[in-house]
Amino acid sequence: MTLRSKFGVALGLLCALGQAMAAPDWEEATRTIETALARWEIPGAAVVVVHQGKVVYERGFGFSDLASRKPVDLDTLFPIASNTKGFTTAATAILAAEGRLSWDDPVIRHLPEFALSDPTLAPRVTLRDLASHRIGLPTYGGDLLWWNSNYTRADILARLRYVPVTGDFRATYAYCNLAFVALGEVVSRAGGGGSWEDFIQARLLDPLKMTRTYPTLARARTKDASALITAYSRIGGKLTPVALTEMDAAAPAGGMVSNARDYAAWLQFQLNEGAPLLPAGAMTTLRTPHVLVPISAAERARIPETVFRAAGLGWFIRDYRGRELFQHNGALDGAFSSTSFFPATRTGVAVFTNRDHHTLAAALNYYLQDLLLGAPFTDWSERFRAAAIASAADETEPESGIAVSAEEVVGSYETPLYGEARIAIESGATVLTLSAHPRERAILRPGRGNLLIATWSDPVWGKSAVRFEQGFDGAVSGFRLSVRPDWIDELEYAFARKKEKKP
Amino acid sequence: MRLRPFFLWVFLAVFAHAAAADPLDGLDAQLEKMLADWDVPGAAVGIVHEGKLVYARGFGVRELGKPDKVDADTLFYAASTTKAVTALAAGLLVQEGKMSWDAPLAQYLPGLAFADPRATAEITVRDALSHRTGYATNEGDLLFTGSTYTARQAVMRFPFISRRLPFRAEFGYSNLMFAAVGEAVAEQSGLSLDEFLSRRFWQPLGMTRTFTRFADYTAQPNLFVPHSARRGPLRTYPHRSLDAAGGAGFIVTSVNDYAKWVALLLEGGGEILQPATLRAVWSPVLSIGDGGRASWFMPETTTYSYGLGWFVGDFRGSPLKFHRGNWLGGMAAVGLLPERKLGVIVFENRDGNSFVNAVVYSILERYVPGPKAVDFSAQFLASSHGGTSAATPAAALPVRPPAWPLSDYTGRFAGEAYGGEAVISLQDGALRLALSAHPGAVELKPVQGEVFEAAGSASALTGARVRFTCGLDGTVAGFDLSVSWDRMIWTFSRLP
Repeated sequence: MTLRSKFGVALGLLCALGQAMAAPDWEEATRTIETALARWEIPGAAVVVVHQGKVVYERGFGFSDLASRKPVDLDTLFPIASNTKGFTTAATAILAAEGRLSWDDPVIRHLPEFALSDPTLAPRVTLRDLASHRIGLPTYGGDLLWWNSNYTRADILARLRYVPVTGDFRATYAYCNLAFVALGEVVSRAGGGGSWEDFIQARLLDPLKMTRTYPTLARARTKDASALITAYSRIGGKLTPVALTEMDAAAPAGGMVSNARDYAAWLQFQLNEGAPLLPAGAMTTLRTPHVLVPISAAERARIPETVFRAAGLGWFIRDYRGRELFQHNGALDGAFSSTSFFPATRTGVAVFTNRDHHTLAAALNYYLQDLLLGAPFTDWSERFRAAAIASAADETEPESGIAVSAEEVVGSYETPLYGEARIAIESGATVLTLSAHPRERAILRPGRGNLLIATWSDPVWGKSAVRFEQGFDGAVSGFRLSVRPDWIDELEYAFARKKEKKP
Repeated sequence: MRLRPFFLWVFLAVFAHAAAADPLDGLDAQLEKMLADWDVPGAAVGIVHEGKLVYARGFGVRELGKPDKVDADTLFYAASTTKAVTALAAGLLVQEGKMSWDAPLAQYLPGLAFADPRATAEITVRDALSHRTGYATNEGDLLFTGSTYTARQAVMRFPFISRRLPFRAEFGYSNLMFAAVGEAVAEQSGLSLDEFLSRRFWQPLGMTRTFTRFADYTAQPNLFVPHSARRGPLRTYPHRSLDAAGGAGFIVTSVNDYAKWVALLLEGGGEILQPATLRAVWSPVLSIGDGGRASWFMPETTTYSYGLGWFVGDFRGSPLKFHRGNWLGGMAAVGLLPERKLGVIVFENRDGNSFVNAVVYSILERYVPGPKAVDFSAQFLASSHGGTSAATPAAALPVRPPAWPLSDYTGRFAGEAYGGEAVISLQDGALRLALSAHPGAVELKPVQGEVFEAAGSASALTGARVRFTCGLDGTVAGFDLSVSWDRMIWTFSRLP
């Protein structure tokens, strides 16, 4: 297809947008991005743009490590977090093309041990359901099981049956990482029994020549540690280095690490409709809306160019300025990234940053896509910033007063969903520890009533309001704990006091 | 010391000989002694043997500290021995083809539903009458205890009570389920359950002093006075309506009247009940626990099961049908050895002990002596089930007052399962709890932190524990209520 052949039809559009379409001003773009990064206090970023089969823009910004002033370049490694999900669904699509599984297979055909809290539901869940956030499991439910924990993939999947099913099957959209952990395990078994990691390496990264992209943080550390970012978070109003989230056990949901140079190949793979690794039509399956994603009034105001949003398989779908846009974000401690592409115009954008709790990477995707579309300039950075400020969490602390005492709460607790918790008095402080998170400790101090405030040693975990429960005899029978429900896991873990063993 | 076994042997030999001569010899004295040993103010005992009421006597007084004697016409709670009547009332409808033991109960009572559609479809009349539906013991009893609900209203709360036990595999003693069968009988017969029982059982049998309505029996002379030591020393309690318990335990009767009912059963159902109907209610339906090897409830039984409204076991080679009842202030028991045409009826005006079991077994012992005499009274007294079980003491805790001013706990709360509202108010510096279906407010006294106890008046709620649930911002969002005799936790949420 040439422009000329459609000249008559496109004339009006070209007249209006002609100048921008002809040549995006990339120097102007660089300045815009630099200004936005400074305004958002993002230490470093990497940006890659592909168009019509070519890399048209790629650049590192700011610092990979602030202390050593090491700059971000095209080889700087970022955890791509949930952008990994597109790799896991592409791997599944390869197996589907080979006839080793079908998207409509029940999960239990591949994972006989797959179980949910609703026993009638588990046998009905298909691979499509795993990849499209429509099982009815709660948003981020159970993510504490992998977030910096010492659980294995098998441990996590064994506990899936204790995550409450809260939504209606195939009717409710709720973002679910654990389902992708299960899908990763399906890839492993249907793929011949090798690990998900090896499948991703051999069947996607190697053929796409993504030589410095790694399925897990552990592999990146082993082979390419010096290229890894230092991750930052704003804690107490100050940009602070934080540990990268350990999530290799849940890697199929978000454990991959990549750089801008390699990622261009991944974007090209999308825009080439999966060629040469996937047959024609395979990508269409991944890009088919599987469950509608509601758009809140606030989101509609922030992006009025979109009226429809849905989840595909490892990708989100929205209309944007009259075209189908596919996208995904990825967020972990100290890292946020965003990917988007238009198959129609064959444009793809990815932005990686080494800071969390911001949305600039997503805003820059819209900015850069607008540039490629020749759309009039929209200050996406400011639109997203206004929304971020409006929704900033109110961090008022619960009042303190008469509260449950240390003597009442010391002891061992357990919940099948998580494991064990222990409360002990150490050097005069009441300390809460969790069995699967040996590095995390919280000091408990009085809130009010049955509420104690836990301050975690990990600044990212911040504080948790721990709601103790009394039995009718007055004794403390358990507690409810959420860890960063805004960020890590929305679930409330209900721990019950362990029964004393009889002598 | 060395002589003691010999004297004991002589005593036993003499005792056994006497029993063989006349089972009733010395019974008066034995029961008088048991009354004293068990600290029971008053009791009535009846024995039906070979079609005759061979023994009918009262012991002690109707009310502690008053002279009125108990006799064989004194009215007592039949309590859960009502369940046998309910099962056989359903049996009458089965005889007439109006009901089937194996059809879903919900089919016979429009509006009745259980925790989930599967439960509604699968719980049959037979399940409902044999405590194998999966509903746990005593859950939901608050609904008919001292409440203004009718039995019909109470059983309509079933959808809000969760089924926690495996279906048809475990014994869960559900009173509410018998109330539901009673209502189904009423629905299918077009009469109230009271009227149905009156027309089909009481009138034909000439039972003129058997009642099922609070208003009726409290207007009668010679009515027992309830006593209990559940909370502190033994004292009297006012009569509380049992009307809403319906088929689970609403009968009030006397030894002389109930003996007619027992005689009907022992003669094989007479003109009223077919042999097949009695076989249905007396056949084991669900084996309980270890099947009888460790039953404190029915000693010496080698099998321990529930039929329909009856515990079924055996005593020294004879099938034994047994049930007892326990209600605030009074207890009852009926034990039948149908093959020996022997029936025992016991009532007492005190609750929470095993005096009635002890009397039934002491009398069975007289009719069916074993190789060695057994002192069932001492045996039951010694068992942990002999008397009022002491409340589990809370672990020693540092005392913690409520975290908020009492006024913060006040407000209006809705209870979904309860089907009504709770109002907590502050009066004269104390919290008071009033439930919409339980007349009479109770005072809430702080126990530990956010746990309070209902104190004071003679409401059904006395002794209830209330546990407030506080939101993360500290506001009191609601509370859980628990009474010791109903394991259900009743949740209330603050109304806007």
